[in-house]
Amino acid sequence: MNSQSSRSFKLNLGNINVGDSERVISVIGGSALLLYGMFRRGLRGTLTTLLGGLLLYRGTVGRCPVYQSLGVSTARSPQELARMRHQQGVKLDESIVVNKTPQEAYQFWHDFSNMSRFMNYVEQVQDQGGGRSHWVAQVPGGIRMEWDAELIKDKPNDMISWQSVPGSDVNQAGSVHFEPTPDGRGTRVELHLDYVPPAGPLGHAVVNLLGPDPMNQIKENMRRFKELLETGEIPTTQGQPTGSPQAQTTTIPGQKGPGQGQQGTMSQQGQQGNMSEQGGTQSQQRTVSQQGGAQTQRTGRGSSGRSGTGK
Amino acid sequence: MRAVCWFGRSDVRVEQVPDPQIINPRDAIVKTTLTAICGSDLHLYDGYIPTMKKGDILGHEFMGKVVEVGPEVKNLRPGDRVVVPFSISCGQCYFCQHGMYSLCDNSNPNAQMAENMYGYSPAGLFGYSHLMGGYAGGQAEYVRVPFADIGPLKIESGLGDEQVLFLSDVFPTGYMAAENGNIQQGDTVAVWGCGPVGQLAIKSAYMFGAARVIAIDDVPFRLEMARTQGQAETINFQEQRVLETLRDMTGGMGPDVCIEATGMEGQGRGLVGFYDRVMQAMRLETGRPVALREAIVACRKGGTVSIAGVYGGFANMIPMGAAFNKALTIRMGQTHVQKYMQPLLNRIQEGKIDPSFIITHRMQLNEAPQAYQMFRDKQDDCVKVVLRP
Repeated sequence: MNSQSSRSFKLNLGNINVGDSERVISVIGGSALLLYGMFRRGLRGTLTTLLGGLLLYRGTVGRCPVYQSLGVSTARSPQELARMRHQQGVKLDESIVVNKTPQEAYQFWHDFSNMSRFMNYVEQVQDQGGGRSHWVAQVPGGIRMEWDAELIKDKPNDMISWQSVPGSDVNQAGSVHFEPTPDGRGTRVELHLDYVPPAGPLGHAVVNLLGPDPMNQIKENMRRFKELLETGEIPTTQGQPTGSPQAQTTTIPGQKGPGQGQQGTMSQQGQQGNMSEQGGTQSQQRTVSQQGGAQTQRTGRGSSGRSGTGK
Repeated sequence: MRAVCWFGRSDVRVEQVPDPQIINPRDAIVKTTLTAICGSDLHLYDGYIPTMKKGDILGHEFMGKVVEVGPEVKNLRPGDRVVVPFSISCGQCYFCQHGMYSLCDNSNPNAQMAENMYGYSPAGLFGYSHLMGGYAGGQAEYVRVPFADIGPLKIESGLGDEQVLFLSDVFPTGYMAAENGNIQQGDTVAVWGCGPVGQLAIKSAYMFGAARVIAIDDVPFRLEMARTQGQAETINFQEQRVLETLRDMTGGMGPDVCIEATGMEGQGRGLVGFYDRVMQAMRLETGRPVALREAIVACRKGGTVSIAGVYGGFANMIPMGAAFNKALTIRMGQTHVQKYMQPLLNRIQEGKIDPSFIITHRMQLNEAPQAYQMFRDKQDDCVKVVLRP
C-alpha cells in the first residue's frame, strides 16, 4: 500500500482516481461482500470481508490504491468536472439598445480593454494578441482574481464569443451579439455570460464577483456600457461636495466610479463597498468621508482658471 | 465654499463645504453669480420628496462664470458667462438627439432607482434628490456642471443676470406648458397657479396666440401680478367657484386649454382636501392634485390639459371618467430646457419679454433659511426670491 493513501481519509478532489459510477458500484459491491464475509467463517470469510472493505473504501473516498500504483485513473479531471457542472453554474442574459451603429458597438466591445471601464470589479483586461486576453478582477474583501480568456468566434459587427482558458480560476464563457433595431434607432446589444464557480475559497470569491444579485449586476454593467459608448463617460456624483460635516454613508445603487480621463481629487477616503440588497434593488454601501476642515479657496481663479486636472 | 444644504423638513442651512472638482471629462465648474429658489424646492423643504439625504446641496436655477473646464469641453472657456439648465443631458442618446433633453438616458447615476419606480429613468437634475441623480445643486458658490458642452448657454450680450437667470428653469417651463397646450389662435387658456411658472405660462400663452388668459389663485398679490404683468383675467378660488366662473366666462363651453402650474401641494378644500391631507400624511398619496382634478373637470370637451408639474409619485382620485368622456388631451413632462433656451433668449434680447418681473425679493445666499420659509408661507407678497452668493 502506498504510504500516502494509508494516511489520509479526507476527500481530496485532486487525488480522486476512481470514476463516479465506478465508485457507486464499488460501494454497493463492497458493502455486500463485507456483510457476506462477516457471516462466513474461515479464511474465505476473512478475505471476503477484507475485499468488501477495500471496495467500500475506494468507493467512498474515491481513491484506489491499486489504481494509484498502476498510475491509472477512471475519474474525470477537475476541469472536466467544472465543465460538466455547467448546468449548475450561473447563466446571465441581458440586452440593451444603444444609439450607435452595430459597427461602433462591435468595435467598442472588440477592444477588451474597454471592459474594465464598465464591468463591475474588473480592474484590467490586457489584450495579449492571438485572441487571448488577461483579466484581473478585485472583489470587495480584497480577493484578487486573474484569468486568461480566448476568443472562440469573432464575426465583425455581428457577434463575439470567448471563454476562459482551461485551468483558470474563473470558468467564464460569454458571447455578445449586435443587431440593428428594426426601427433604425440603433443597435440591440445582447450579452450572455456563463459562470461556473470553482470549489474552494475562489468559488466564494467568484460568487462575490457576481454579487448576491447577478442579474442586477449584469444589467448595471450593460447600462454603464451604453453610457460609456454614447457619451464617453459614466455619470457619477462620487467626489462631489455635500453639507454633512462628518463621514456620511450614502446608499447609491451600483455606481462604478468616476469616468475616464481627468480624475479630480476626490474627497473620499477609506472607500469600501459591500453588497446588500434592498427590496429588489441592489445597493452598495460606501463610506464617503469629506475633508471637513480643509477648504479649497477658489477666490484666486477668476478668469484665469485652468482646464484639465482638478485640485 | 458656502452652500444651502437640506437637513430635513423645514430645515435648510448654509454650510461650509468643500469646493466641487472636475470629476468627468465633460464637466465644468461654474462660479455662481445668481441663483433662485423654485416652487419645486418647496416640495423638498416640506419633506415630500423621498431619497433626500442630510447635507444634500439644493438649488437648480443658477447662472455664473465658468472657472474650470474638463478636457472634453471644447465650447466653453474659463471666463464665459453661462446660464445652466436644471436638467442634465448628454446630447448623444436617442432622447437628447430628438430634443427630449429631460428624458436623457445617460445622466442619472441612480437610474436603476428611478427605473424601479417609473419603468425608465429620466435625466438627472441638479439638487433634486437621489432618485434624480443626487447631483449637488446650484444654491452654492460653485457648482460642478456635468455635460457642460451640452447644457450651459453662453450669454454674450449685456443683459443683466436677473433678465436671463430664468432661462434655467421657470421661463422654459412656463413656455413648454403653454406649448403642450396646443394653443390655437383665439383660444381661451386657464392657468391654475400664479407663481413664477404660472406667470410665465400666462405670458407664453399669449405668445402662442391665446385671445384670453384666465389665471386662478388665492394670493391677492399674485393675482394682481397676473393682471398687471400678464394681462390676464383672474379668479380668486377662495372667493369664487372656479368651475362655474370659468363656464360663465367662456359662454358655457369651458376653456380650450387648461394649464396646471401648481404641482403636488395644491390647496384642498372640503372633503376631498381633507382626504388628500390624510392620504399624504399616511404616505398613501404623494401629491395633492387638487388643481389637476379641477382642470380636468373645467376643461371644455375635446380640449387640452397641460401639466407643468411637479409630480413625483402617485395621485389619487383623478377624474379619469371626465377626461375620457370629454376626449381630453393631457400632456405633461419635465421641461426640455436646452431646447428652449436659445429661442427664449432671443426674445429677451429683442425686448419682447423681461422675465425679471417675477422677482420680489433679492437676498444673500446666507439668508436662504429665511428665504425658504418666507417663500413657502407666501409672506411679504413673495413671488420669487433670488439669492446672491
